[in-house]
Amino acid sequence: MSDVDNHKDAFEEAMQNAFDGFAETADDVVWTDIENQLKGKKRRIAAYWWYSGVAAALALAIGLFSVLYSPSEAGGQAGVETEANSSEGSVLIDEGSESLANDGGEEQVKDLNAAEEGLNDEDEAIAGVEKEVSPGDEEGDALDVDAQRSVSPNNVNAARDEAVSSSGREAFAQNDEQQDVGDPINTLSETGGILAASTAQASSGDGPGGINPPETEAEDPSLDLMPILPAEVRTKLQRSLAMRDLDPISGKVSDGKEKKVDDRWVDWEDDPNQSNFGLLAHFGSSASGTPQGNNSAFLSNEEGFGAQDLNQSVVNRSDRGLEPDRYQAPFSLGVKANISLSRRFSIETGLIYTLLGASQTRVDSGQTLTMILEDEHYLGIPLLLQYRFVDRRRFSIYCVQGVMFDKAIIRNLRRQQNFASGEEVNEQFRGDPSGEQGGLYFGLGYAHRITNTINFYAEPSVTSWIYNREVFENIRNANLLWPSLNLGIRFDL
Amino acid sequence: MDIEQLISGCREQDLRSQKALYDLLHPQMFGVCLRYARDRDQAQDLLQEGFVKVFQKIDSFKGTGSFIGWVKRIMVNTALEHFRKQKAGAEEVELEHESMMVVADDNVVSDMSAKDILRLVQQLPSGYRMVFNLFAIEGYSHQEIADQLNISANTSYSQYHRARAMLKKMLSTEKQTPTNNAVL
Repeated sequence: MSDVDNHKDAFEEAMQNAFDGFAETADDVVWTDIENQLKGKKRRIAAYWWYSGVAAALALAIGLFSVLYSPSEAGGQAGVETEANSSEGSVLIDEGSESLANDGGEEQVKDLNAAEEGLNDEDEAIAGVEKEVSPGDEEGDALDVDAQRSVSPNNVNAARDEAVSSSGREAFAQNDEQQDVGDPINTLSETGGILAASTAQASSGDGPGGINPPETEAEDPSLDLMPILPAEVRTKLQRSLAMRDLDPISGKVSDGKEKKVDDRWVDWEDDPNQSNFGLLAHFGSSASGTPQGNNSAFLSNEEGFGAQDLNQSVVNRSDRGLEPDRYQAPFSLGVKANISLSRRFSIETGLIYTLLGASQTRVDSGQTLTMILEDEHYLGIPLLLQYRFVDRRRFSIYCVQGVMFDKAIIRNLRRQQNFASGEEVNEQFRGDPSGEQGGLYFGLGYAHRITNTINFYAEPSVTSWIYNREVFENIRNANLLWPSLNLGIRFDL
Repeated sequence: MDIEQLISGCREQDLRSQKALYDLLHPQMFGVCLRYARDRDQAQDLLQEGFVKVFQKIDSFKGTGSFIGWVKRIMVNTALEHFRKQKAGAEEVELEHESMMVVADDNVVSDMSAKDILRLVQQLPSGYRMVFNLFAIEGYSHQEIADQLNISANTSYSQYHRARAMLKKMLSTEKQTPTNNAVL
């Protein structure tokens, strides 16, 4: 402490009294300068938010793009190529069956390839093929049935049995010869742990397209990773590789040149309700339907792929249910609690409801359009750290990041069938919820205060969900980044 | 609209609230700035800078004390900051005022208006002016002044007494020969 004299006498008192309440008006220019200075600051803040907004919008756009285009494109193309290969494969089998019947092993494979190339090079041969698969041709239909069934790798034998039991026994006999040719390849594939799925799924299995892939895959170094990948990931990757390298129509390895367009497929794509006899269904007919027309022989078989098989297949999830070709827009609704750590930081948790949906569309025997819709309801708990950039009396703008845990609680399945006769059948099933899923979450949000402790929030976000093979084949698994718009009520504690 | 509402508006960067708060407080704060400045222009500079700080830092006002006191403190700190910058730049020539340390009647202050006294205070060397304002009007101790101006308490004490003597001298002279060249 200083020992200087701090004594105040009458002089200091007189000074304080003289200036007590003293006021003087400043020039107007002072406020003008203050205003300009404040606006300059606001302009800098606005520029900051502008750049932040552009960055956030860009991130959301990228995520949205991946959602809207990647899955539907992949799913759609997968369906197109699979079925196109199937129909073409059946044709090629028919043309090449004579040579296949006499040879065996790799010799037969070579012959089959040669037959395929010869067929593809000659327009007349193609014309003959199309003639063979014309409506009303039971042999052609039966071949197509067999080829289509063979798209599903697990059901080759079932398809064979069903085809045998149908009216196309003679045709199947030809195909059976080809199956014998294909077996060495499949055996080899199973041994390698890679090629079986690729042969069966990517190139529709039994046709020439199923024989060509080994050369293609062997050249792809990415396949070295195949054995260590989960089965679903492997299947998807194999399909992707096959889609990239194989011509969807001819089943041949693509050289990047212009591909031949299958008019029959284009027609179907334009109008899914249209009857296309060259295309067959994976799942057969509905037990409750009354199908008409050329597929009656096929539908008469009740031991093959009936509706019960479909239900069991999807509901029991023995094979993860359907392979979606379309995802519904996800929707989330939640209640959150915000626990302040400091003026700008807080921890956030709560309960979030999310609805995810997907659908798969098939054409059964060119007569019946079947759509399977699956939706799953999730409850999730977020654990997030929030930072408020702008914190005003009425509102706040913030960024938030953390982890999310979601658990499926309800799973619904619905099948809608439209028959050529115009009849429509709808069925609903309740499935077992598929499991839990976790993800990393990042969002930018606006919260509007309703009271001091309750606010409404709108929070665009991007979540990267950890792949879980057990969960419903949803949009989260199909995309690295999953954008969503979250709306809800938040309680500030 | 009361001052609480104005403060809330200023927290939301509402320009109308800021203008209203400025209109309400600036005359009193300009009076403070005039005491610390050498002239009106410098006082207006201090006022502008001080109010910009008020609007930018208003979120840090917790509402526990007087808001006007908080704003006044910002104005004084702004003035001291200016003084420190000036002192670091060009050392002001301190005149020898020993000859001016004459005994004057304390009652001379009470006979003059605040504007007249202010005009004389503004004529004090800046160091003296700072110490004089802080000790005689704001009521700080010499140790507190020393801490704020980065000087010793003894320096504050001696500067204050020189400033006081100088001011009394000027007041006596002013009373004898009043002038109308007010700086306000």
